[in-house]
Amino acid sequence: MSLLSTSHLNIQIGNTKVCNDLNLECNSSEIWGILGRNGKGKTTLLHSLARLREVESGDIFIHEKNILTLTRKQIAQQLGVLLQHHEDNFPCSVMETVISGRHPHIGHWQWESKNDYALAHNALESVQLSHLSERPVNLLSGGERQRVSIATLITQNPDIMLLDEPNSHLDLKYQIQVLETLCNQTKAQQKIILMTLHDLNLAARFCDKLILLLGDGEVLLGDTDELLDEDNLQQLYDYPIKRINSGDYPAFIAK
Amino acid sequence: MLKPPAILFLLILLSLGSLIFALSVGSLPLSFVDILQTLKGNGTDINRSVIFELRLPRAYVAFITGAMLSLAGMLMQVLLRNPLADPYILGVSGGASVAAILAIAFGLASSLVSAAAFIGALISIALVFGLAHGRGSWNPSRLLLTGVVIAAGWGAIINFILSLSPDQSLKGMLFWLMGDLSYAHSEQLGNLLLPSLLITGLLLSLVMARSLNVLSRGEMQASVLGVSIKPLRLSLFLLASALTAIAVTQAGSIGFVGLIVPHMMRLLISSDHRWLAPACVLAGGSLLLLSDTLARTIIAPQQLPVGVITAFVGVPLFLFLLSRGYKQQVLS
Repeated sequence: MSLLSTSHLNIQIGNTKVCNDLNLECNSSEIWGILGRNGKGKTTLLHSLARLREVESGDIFIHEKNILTLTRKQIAQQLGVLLQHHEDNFPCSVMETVISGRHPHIGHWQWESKNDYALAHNALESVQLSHLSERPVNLLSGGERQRVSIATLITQNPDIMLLDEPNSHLDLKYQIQVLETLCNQTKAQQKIILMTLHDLNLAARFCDKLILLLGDGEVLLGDTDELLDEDNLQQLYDYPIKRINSGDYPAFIAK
Repeated sequence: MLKPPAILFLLILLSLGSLIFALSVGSLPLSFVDILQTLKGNGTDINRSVIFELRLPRAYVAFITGAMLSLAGMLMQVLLRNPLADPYILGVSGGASVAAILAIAFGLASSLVSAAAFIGALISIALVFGLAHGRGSWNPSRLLLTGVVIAAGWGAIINFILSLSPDQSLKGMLFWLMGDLSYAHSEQLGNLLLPSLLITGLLLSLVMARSLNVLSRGEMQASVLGVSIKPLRLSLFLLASALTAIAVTQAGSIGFVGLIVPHMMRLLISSDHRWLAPACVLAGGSLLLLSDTLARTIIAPQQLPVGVITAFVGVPLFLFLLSRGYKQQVLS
């Protein structure tokens, strides 16, 4: 079943056309990657899909319902976003931050239940941060802060996860482990992930399908294996890239 | 570290303690027994008149004003996502002050001064709201800039009026500008408008509390977690402004309470607004009540503007908590 789809979607930011007449269909258990150069609209596309900004024209559907007919809260119950920037304006602990992921699921006068805290603890465990749950977030390293945001998203537990550069600030081990955790959960629970990535090796390893934003509204959609050839990548990044087929996943290096 | 309910309980004790202190000290010292007898209706005439005509009305207005200011400060800090925001930052008190000192300049009665202050505050709120809203988006930095610029404009007008005013009205104006509770009188005890406004403000803050927790992580993150930003932002702005306008009308622009109390409470209780809002009400009320009691007793029979005392009490207290808070964070 299609969890997230668009029809005739037009997105423009400033003078940059991100996509033109985009018809996207993301089905359950699929991992999608969004690739493109800086300023080609990867983040704008993610934000549009989450209705964090208005689109020029076209429709977006979540669970086959037009996103414009849903309230902010209803959207948040089904769709979560890992943002690129995290604001911590006031002192707050890791646990207080992660539990905020339950906000869309709790009634107005309700407090977080034991079950909510159990979800938050599990989420922290899955990003290996259990030992820091009482630490103030402003004392965390960049990578730890990024994992706190990922844990918040896991606690929100949406069917659709939109990740904006999930591997930023993460060291090599966590880049693989965190993406593996997220992707395995997603497949097991028949949800979907769409994520922007700059690392072709990670894209080849984790994504089933890709969206290549070539610029000027031109978009290539398709299976990862088929899209990641040297011609497409040269066009995508405006730089020659060599594909090496070795082991389980292909590897890519800039020439 | 105490749990939030325990801290809230201690704050209730602090509020009661401040009240007893405020009722007992002054040119006629009263013991705890005297106060109890008088409140029960058995006191001597002179005790009754000291308590019901002088000290209780003043304590009542002081507590409510302090509570409103610190609640408004807390809301303003979340609205602007700026820990340096206070209730006056968007110019509400500037508008009130201009109108109030104009009223004093024309020699109007104190009740009319309050009415003028309230109207001035409303004009300032409308001005900031209209200009910051404009045609474009309504982001915190634009709101902050508009408010700060308008506040600066009011400041210039205040200085202009002060420089033209005759000496005899100058002292009244200065006291008003520094914050002064000596206008409180016994009729205000029967006026239930003030406490009902405070309670309404607290209840509305509690309704929004969990959304405020999310909003303090940024508007984008709050949207992602299901908060409708526009209505929340508007309610925050209106509620904080209304509370400030009423507080300023009661007591002039008393500084520091609205900045320092929310901060102290964030360090002491938590950043969870469901605890923070009631804590701000209790602590803000107590701080202003204690400060006002000191203001009228330290160099009695002369009175100091309470704003001076809130700064004297608040600044060292705040610095102490801040240094302690940082130590705890580093050690944890």
